[in-house]
Amino acid sequence: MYVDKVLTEDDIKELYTNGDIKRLYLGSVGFFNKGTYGYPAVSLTPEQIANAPEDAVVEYWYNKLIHYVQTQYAFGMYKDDYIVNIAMGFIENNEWHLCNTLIAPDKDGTRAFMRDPEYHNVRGRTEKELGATISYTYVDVGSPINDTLPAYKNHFGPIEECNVKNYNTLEHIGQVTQNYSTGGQEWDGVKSEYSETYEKYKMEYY
Amino acid sequence: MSGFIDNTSNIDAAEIAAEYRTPEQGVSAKSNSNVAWNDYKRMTPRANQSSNIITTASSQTMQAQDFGGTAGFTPGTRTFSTGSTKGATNTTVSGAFTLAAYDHINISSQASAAVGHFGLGAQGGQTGISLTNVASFPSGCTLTGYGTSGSGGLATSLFYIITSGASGATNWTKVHHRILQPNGVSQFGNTTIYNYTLTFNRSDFTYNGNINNNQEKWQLSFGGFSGVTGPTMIYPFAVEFE
Repeated sequence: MYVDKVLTEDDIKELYTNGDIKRLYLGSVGFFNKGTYGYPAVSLTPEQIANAPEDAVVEYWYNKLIHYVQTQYAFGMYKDDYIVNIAMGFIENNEWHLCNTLIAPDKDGTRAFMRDPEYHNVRGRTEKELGATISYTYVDVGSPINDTLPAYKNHFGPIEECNVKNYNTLEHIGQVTQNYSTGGQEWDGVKSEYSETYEKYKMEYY
Repeated sequence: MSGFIDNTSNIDAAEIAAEYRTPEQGVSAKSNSNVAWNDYKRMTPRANQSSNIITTASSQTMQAQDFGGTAGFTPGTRTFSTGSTKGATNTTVSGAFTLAAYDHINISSQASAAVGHFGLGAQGGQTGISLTNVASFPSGCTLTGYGTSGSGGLATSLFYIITSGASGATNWTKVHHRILQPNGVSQFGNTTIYNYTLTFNRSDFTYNGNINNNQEKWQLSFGGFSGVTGPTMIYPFAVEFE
């Protein structure tokens, strides 16, 4: 059984304390490292990031999650009361923008739920209930997720039970480059101005 | 305004209860009248100082003096971002800061605001906490800021201690920071972490005796590749100055 929850700051603290954020990070890092995820804005070399202590990176994600729950959204998907996914994004003009995901195997040690239509239905309902009428997904250039999304389209598109997110409409828009800024402020260890390029995907709901 | 418990020999239960009114964070608060000292066993930073792992409620006998010179805080957080899409990086201000202290470290164009509470249980106010009779601070000093700013983990962060009232550069030598986890313990997979104390030496901080609003500041870089461990601001915490 799947339950999707709009996470709160207290939820994130509990998930951190329980080690769930670390577990989700460890379940995701292989996908990060196959992509080009470079921890944008952090003034470190790729070598330094690769050698960073695990707990330091987990703390980075904790910090990011706190920001998402305070100002945007973080959705936590629980399968049989065990969190398997946190999606971070925002809603603007009735568009859901999925920016980052942490995902890990379920209690049984598998990721089979990712091929379960109901898993996607439950998440899609959360997005729609918050007003989304269209969704965008941002993926690292070179990430294996760029292969996963077309595979999802082929898999879920024909399945009638997958009836919230319309995977038949999934399309790759192309690469987008975003500029970022600290607004002229000095943040320790963070670049004041930088830009990043991502693959952008669009999908409609039923 | 809550305060540091007197570092004297005549600490009484009422004084302890007034400061530490919520014995175990995450558990229903007790009224001041039915709190026993041992309810605070997981909270005081003084017992055993930096190695004080208190594993069971019966492992130690609490003494009134263990609370001397300590105060509890409830951290708040404000986060800021470089943008809204995937590549955004966030930085967070965490801890307890008065409006004036926050003004000094304000890292955004957003309006200034007091953060957290100088007391436990989200009580104790946001106007600071008296440092009179704490360490060697002169009478009339107030702690107006105690917390951190940073992007967490990978990048270096900053630890601030901010005072007002002509504190002087050398009126404390160490600060002990003790995290107060829910029920005194966290479980990271197979690893159990009990409340612990971090001790910081004033000599490791840089000092600025003249910041905004006649405040003084001690600042320490930590995290990233600095090799310095900073204070955790996830949980309520207790502080003691020497």
